[in-house]
Amino acid sequence: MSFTKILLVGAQNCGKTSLFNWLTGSSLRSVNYAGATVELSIGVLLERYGAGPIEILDTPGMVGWDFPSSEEGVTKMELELSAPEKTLLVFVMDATQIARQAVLWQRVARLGFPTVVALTMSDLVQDVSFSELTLEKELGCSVVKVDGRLGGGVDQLFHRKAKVPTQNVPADSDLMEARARDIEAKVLGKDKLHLSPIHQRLDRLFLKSALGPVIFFGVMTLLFTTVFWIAQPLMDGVDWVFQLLAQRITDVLGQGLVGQFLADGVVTGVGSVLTFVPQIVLVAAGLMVLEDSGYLARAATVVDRPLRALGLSGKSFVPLLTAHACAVPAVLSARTISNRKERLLTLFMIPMMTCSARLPVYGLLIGFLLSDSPAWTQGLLMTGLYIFGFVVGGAVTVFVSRHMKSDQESFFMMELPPYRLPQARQILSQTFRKVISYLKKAGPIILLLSLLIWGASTFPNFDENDTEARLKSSYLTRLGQVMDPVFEPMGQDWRVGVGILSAFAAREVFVSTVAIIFHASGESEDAQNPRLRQLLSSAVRSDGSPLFSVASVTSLILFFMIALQCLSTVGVVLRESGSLKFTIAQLVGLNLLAYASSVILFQSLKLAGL
Amino acid sequence: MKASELSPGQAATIRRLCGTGALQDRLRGLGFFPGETLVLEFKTTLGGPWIFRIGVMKVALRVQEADRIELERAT
Repeated sequence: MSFTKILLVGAQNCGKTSLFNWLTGSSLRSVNYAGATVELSIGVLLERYGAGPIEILDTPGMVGWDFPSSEEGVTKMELELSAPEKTLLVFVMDATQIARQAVLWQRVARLGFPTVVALTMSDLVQDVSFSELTLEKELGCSVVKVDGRLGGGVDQLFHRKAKVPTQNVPADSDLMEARARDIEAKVLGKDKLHLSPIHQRLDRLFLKSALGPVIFFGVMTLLFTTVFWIAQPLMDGVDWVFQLLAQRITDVLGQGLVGQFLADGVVTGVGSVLTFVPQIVLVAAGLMVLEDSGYLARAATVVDRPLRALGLSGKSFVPLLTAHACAVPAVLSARTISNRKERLLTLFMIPMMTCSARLPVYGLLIGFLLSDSPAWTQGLLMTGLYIFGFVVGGAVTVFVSRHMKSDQESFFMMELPPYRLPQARQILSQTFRKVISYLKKAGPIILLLSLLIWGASTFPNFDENDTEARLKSSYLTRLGQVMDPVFEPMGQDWRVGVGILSAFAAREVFVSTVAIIFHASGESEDAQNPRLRQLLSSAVRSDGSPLFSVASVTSLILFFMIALQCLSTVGVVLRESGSLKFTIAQLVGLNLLAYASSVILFQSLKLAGL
Repeated sequence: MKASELSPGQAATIRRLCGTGALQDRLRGLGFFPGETLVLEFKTTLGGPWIFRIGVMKVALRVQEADRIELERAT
C-alpha cells in the first residue's frame, strides 16, 4: 500500500462512523481547524488491515454541497487539502439510496483520488435484483459490501484494488442528478425496494398517533431515571475515592502549603472533573442507543413544533436533552445545527437546564423547605424544579429570540433512518469518544478554576492550621464581605455570598463551602447531612432574624436556576460560538437576570410574610 | 402543484425546487431531484413536520419547506 491516509467520505447516515469504528482501535485523536470549530475524528488503521501507520479520518457526513454547514465545510476542505497520490478514499454508499449518493460520488470522483466504494445496508437490498457488478461498472471502482454494524466484509476493502474513477463526470448538478438516477435504475433493474411493514407501523405509532408524544415523554423519563439511578452511586463513589485520597495526602504531608495544594487543590479539582464522568458516560450511551435504534430522529421530529415556538428547531433537542446531565457536552453537540441563530439560541438556553451540578445544591435547599415533610415530597419538588427550569429557560430564550436578528432562514429536514437493533460495540466506542472529548475540552478549564478558587480561599493565611479560620481570613471571604450589600437584597448575607462565589468553580462546591463557613467542616459534607441543615437553620442575620427562611431559600433556588456560574461552560461557549460578544452577553445577562429575579422574589415573599 | 398540497398517501413527480440556494442545496443533497417520485406518507400529530418518502428514504419536512417543492400533477 502506498497511501498514508484514508479518507472516509459519504452522505449523512450512510454508516460511515460504524465502519470507522471497525477500522480503528481505541487510539483516537481529534483535530481542530483554525477558524472552524468542528473537529474530525482521526484514528490509526488496525495492523491487520494494512501495515502502517496509516491515518484514517472519519469526515462529517454530507447533505449540502454548495452551501455547506460548518461540519460539511470540513469535509470539503479535507478533500481539497489531501494529496491524491498518498490518500485512499473509501466512499461509503448506502445501498438503499443509490441515486442520492451517486450525486455526491460524482462530485468526489472529479477530485481524482484512488477510490474503493464500501456498500453499506446491503442486507436491505437482498430481496431485490441489486447488481453490484453493474454498480462497479457504472462507478468505475471496486465495490465492496460491508456490514458496518457487525463488521462483515470490512477486511475485503483492502484486498480490492483502488482505482481512480475515469468515467466522465458532468460538471452541472442537473446532469449529475440525471446520471445518478440512471445509475440507480441500471443497478436495481425493474425491482423496487420496499419498506418493511413493521417500520411503517412504528413510524405511524411514534409520529402520527396521539400516543406519539406520550411515548416520547415516557422514553425521556425512562432515560433520565435510569441515568440517575445508576449514576448517583457511581458519582458518590468517585467523590469518596478522591476525598479519601485528599485525606491520605494531608495525613502524609501535613497541613503545609504543599499538602494543602495537592489535597484540596489538585486532587479535589481532578475529582470535580471526574465526578461527572459516570453521568456523561450514561447519557452519551443512552443517546447512542436511541440514535442507533433510529428513534432519536423521530423524537427530534416530534418536538420540532413545540421548540419552534421558542425560536429553536427539532435539531436543538439533543443538545437540550444532554444539558440535563452537563452543559459542556451539550454545547459541543449543538454543532449539528446549521442555522446560526438557532445554534446561538440553543447555546443560550443550555446553561439554564437543570444540570447534575445543581442537584446537590437543590438537595440541600429543598431539605430546608420540606424538612418535616415525607421524603417523597422532596422528590416531587425536585421534579418540579426540572420542569420549572425548562419553562424559565424557554421563556428567557423566547425573549432573546425576539431581539436577535437572523439573515438565515430556519428549516427542518430530518432524514428518518430505518429502525435497527442497537449494537453494543458501536455504542461503546462512540461513548468512549464522547468522554475523551469532554475530558479534553472541559477538564483543564474546570481544574484551573478549582485551583483558582482554592487559592482564593486559602491565601493569605495559608499557614493557619484551622480550616475554618483560614477560610474566614481568605481573599474569597474578604470579597464576600465587601459584596455583603449585594447579597443582602436577595435575603442572603456574606456567608452564603462566599458560597455563591465559590460555586463559579462548579455549582456543587457551594455545599462544601457553606459547610466550612458554618462550622460543619470535619464531618461529612453531604447535602443530606442533618447536622449541616441544623446549623444552617439556626444561623441568624446581624439583626437576629433567621438567615434561612422560606423567602430566602426559595429565592436562592431561583438564583441557582438561572445564574450562569459554571465557567467551564462559558469557556466552551466561547470556543463554539466564536463570538466574545455573545459569550459576555450571555454571562452578564443570565447572572443579572438571576440576581434581579431572586431579589424581586425575596422582597415579594418577605412582604407576604414568609 | 406543490408538495404542501399533497394529501396523505398521494404521490407525484418532482418538477423543480424553489426557494433560496441553501434550501435547494440541502433538499437536493437529501435526494429531492426533478423526476423522482415523492410520496406524502402522513402528517404528524400536533401540527408538526410532514413525513415524505422518496423510494425507501423517509424525510420529515416542515410545511414551509414542502411549499418550495413543485410537483407535476399528482398521480
